[in-house]
Amino acid sequence: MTREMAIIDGSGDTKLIWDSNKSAEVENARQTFINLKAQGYVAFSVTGKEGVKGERMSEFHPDTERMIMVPPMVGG
Amino acid sequence: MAGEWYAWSNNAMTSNASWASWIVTSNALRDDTSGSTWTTWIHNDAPEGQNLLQVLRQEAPHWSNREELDRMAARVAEFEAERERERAEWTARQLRANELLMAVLDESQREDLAHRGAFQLKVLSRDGSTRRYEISRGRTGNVYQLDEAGNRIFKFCAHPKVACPNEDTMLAQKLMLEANEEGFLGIANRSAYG
Repeated sequence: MTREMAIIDGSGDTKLIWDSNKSAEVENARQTFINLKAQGYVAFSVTGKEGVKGERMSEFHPDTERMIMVPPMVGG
Repeated sequence: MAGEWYAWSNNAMTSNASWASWIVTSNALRDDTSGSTWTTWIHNDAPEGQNLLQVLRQEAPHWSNREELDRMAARVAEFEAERERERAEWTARQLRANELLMAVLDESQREDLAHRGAFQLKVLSRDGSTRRYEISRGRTGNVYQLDEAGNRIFKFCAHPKVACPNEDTMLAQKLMLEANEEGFLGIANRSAYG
């Protein structure tokens, strides 16, 4: 199954897509997730219908349909 | 480059005259260090659609050395082409960001955003109460807490560190409020509305 990670990074979202049945792709996505978390990104799962509220993810789940990685935020 | 373009799109501070004066009286276009300052001017302050060479001719009519002008014209053309590429790239970024934001808004929120430039969301707070927020188009100071009647009572300012399209900022604000309200409020600067 195709899964997607959208990374908000100033480029207008970098998309990382993986097949949850392919271990190499899953591992690449997992490593990306870990690296981004280390940089202060917050992960949200937005699986399901449009308009659904995001759920914060503390760990990588390869079967998550769509996740959005939000970069560190600052007060303005 | 994104940062430069972002800054350019949000600022217009230095007048043509003062920069043209600097160009004429300094080593602008003659060495790499001055060239980078020239680049900054192009990105930050150059008026859109204006022929920069014309501006400089107006501001520095005594600069009549043909070779210098030809060299300057080449540099101007080069930087204007770069600016056009960056503009196209930024537009593409905005389109991608908008597509992602639309995917996580419901129909009512999309309509509100299209017609009012803002959408609302309800957040179940840790204390069990439900709070209403409104996020308007923008990057800073564009998040509001609403009272029961829908009036804005507080304004919050928190946004991604990285320069990104407003649609990405709004998406980040929405996700943070819905799933990590305390975290968002802990970061944001808050002020009474009005």
